[in-house]
Amino acid sequence: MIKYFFPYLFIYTFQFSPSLVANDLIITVYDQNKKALPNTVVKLLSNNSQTKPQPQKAIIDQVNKEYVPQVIAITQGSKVTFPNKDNIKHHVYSFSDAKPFELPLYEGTPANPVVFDNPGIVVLGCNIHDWMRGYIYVSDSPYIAITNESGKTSIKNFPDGNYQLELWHPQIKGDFQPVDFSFKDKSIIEKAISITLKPMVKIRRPKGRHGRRYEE
Amino acid sequence: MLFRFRKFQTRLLFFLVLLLLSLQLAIYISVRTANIQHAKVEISDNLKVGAGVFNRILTERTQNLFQYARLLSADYAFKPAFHSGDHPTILSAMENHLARLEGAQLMTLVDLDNNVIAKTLAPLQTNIKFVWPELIKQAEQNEYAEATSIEMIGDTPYQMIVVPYFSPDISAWVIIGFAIDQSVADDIKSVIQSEVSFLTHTKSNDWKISSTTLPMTTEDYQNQIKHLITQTIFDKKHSLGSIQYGEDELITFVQPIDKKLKVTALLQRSLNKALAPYLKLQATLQTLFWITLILSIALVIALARKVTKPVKELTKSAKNIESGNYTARININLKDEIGELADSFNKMAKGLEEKEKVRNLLGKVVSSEIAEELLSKDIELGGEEKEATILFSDIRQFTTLCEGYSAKEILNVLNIYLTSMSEAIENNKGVIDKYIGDAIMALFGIPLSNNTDANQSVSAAMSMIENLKKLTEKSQLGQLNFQMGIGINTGLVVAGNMGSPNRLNYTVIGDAVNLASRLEGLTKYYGVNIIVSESTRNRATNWEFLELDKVIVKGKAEPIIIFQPIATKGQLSEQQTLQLELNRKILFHYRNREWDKAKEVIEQIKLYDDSKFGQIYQKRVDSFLNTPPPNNWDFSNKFDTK
Repeated sequence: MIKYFFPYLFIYTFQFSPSLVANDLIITVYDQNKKALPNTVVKLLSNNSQTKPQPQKAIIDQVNKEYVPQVIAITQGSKVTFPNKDNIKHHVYSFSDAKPFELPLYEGTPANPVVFDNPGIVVLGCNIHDWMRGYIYVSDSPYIAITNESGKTSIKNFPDGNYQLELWHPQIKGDFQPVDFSFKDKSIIEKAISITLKPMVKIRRPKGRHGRRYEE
Repeated sequence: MLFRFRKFQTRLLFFLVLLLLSLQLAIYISVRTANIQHAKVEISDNLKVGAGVFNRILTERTQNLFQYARLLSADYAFKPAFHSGDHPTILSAMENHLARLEGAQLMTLVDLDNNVIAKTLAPLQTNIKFVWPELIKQAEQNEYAEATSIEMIGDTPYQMIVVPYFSPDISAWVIIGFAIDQSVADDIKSVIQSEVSFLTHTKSNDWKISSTTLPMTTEDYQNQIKHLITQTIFDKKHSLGSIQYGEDELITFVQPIDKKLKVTALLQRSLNKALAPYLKLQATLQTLFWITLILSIALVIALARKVTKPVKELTKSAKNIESGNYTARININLKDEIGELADSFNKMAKGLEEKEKVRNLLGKVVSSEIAEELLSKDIELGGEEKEATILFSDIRQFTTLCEGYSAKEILNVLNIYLTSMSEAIENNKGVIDKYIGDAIMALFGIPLSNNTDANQSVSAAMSMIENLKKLTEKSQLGQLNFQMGIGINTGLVVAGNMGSPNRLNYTVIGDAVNLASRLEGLTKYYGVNIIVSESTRNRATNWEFLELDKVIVKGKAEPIIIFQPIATKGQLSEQQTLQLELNRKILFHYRNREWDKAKEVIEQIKLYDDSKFGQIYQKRVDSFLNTPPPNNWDFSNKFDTK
């Protein structure tokens, strides 16, 4: 469950000339039950121009033994810091191929951020809290966004051209079939897409200091 | 009746023992039935509880596996090994985990594409597919992505569990299993105190015992349990049944283990074992039975004796009375019905005794026949007319004879005489009516009529004369020389009770009686011992008579012919035959007024006859010779004296 929602967490930088920056994609994602789906990563991958994305800085907090936000999308080479806002230590780790790393039990903000050089999905866990789960989508394209609570997001001011739309969600079932789009002359395309999710596997979590043993 | 018992005691015993036996048998059977039923219910309850415990144990084992698998799936130390992709390392780590887990026999790691990553049961195999994908599919349906099922490895069922392996998202599946085998059965048996068997459903739709705590199983036993399981599982009828196991009976509870009905557990308890405490009760019952039986028999014998002893005494006394001993009395001091009976019996015996005394006395006072007659009827005044023969006897000149003797001497002599005479009469069925001093009045045909009374009376008279002769010869009558006369007559008399209601005599009266007495009086005149009337002579066909005369006795108008008996018919001596002939001739000539001829014959008869017959007729003939009888002479001789 996502308890804290931060709609836009990364800064979009414009690097193209104004004549080329013209198109908008507004997208709404639903699940198989027609329910608006937040935390879905939306990526447009240009078929022709291989624009290198600019590295960014991003933050994933640990608040009340949760990663906040739970899902972020970053460009290749971005740096992510993991400040621990709890009064206990956390042990952030990943065994994902894109970036295996660990930050053994620490408090506060680590001195050095973690650099994600390879595109892919990095699943974050906490060694001492099984339920803590975070996802970092490391993109090879600069055109990325994440759906908000109403399943909606947009990618703005990108140049004309043919693009592949890719979606990713932590629960997505199977691989998403990319959708082809063609943008030209300040086109603004609104699109609603639904994806199929796997059922969410629950992970047991203590309810509180004096509460029941497991969360339902 | 099937049985007949001669003795009351035996009968009482038989019925009591029968009653006791049936009662005890009923108690025994009902107690036994109740015990068995109770034991069965108890066993069933125990088995149901046991089944709960059994389920709980299996569930806990499974839960333990789950918990351990969860620990493993979150084990941080295992993660680097897992991600290393190095098969020996992964396998080794898994074996390490398995070693920590008591009771589990296998661990398998399967990737998300159903490929086996590592498998402890087949350490060397790689690149193989997981054999129970259904198990993982089942897990995918679960909110925690966990599942459990029973799977067969060879003939052994295994409880399998699967949990997701988080690294940190689901990266693989961890499968852990434990064998439901003999050790599990033994373990559960030690907890629930019941026999535990596991049976697996084979592909040929049969049930096979995979493990059991029973020492041995026969084919018959297996068939029974297969039947029970089939019924329980497919007909959903019984989960509880009774199975013969050798000499024991096992109450069996069928407990399917998995939903797919691959494996079923049997929980069983011995009926004999459960009945053991009741056997003690049974033994107590048996002892009680014997004690009751012996006590009852003793009691019955005592009771029967108490009843039969007085009854036996009663019987003995009744027999005494039957044989005429009325003095017997029963000495029973009981206040109950038997005591009352004994009292009544004693009173009855006393009554009988008194009655018998009366009867004896009566028999002495009157003749026994009359006593019988009196006793057989209500005694009341009045009589009935009967034909009878009356005999009168008398001692001639008794008064004169007695002069000079004391009364005691006379009584003594008289008693000897009367006893002898009475004997003669009674021997000839005569009845002594009364003694009148030296005279005797006897009846024949009274009170019981018969056709031989006349004959009997003559016989009696002849015997009396004979007896007197003997008495005289033997000098039993002292110096006295008795002459006696007997008169006999047959005719109608009135017989009955005469007198007053308080004092009465059974006797006979009538003309016939008087005549007999008159005839007795004539004996002296004719110088004979016996005179019978014509009516008696006519009926006494056994005798030969001499006709004596035709007489008109005192007080009578009609003449009668009188006779003297001389011999039994056909036994006349020569002299008697001659006498008889002369007698007839005399009477013939006499009545035909042939006096001379009569005289002639009278002279002859005097030679043969010592009676006064000759003298009497000679006198008459002499008289008629002087004064002949009138023309209307009827030959009769009239007596003016008795």
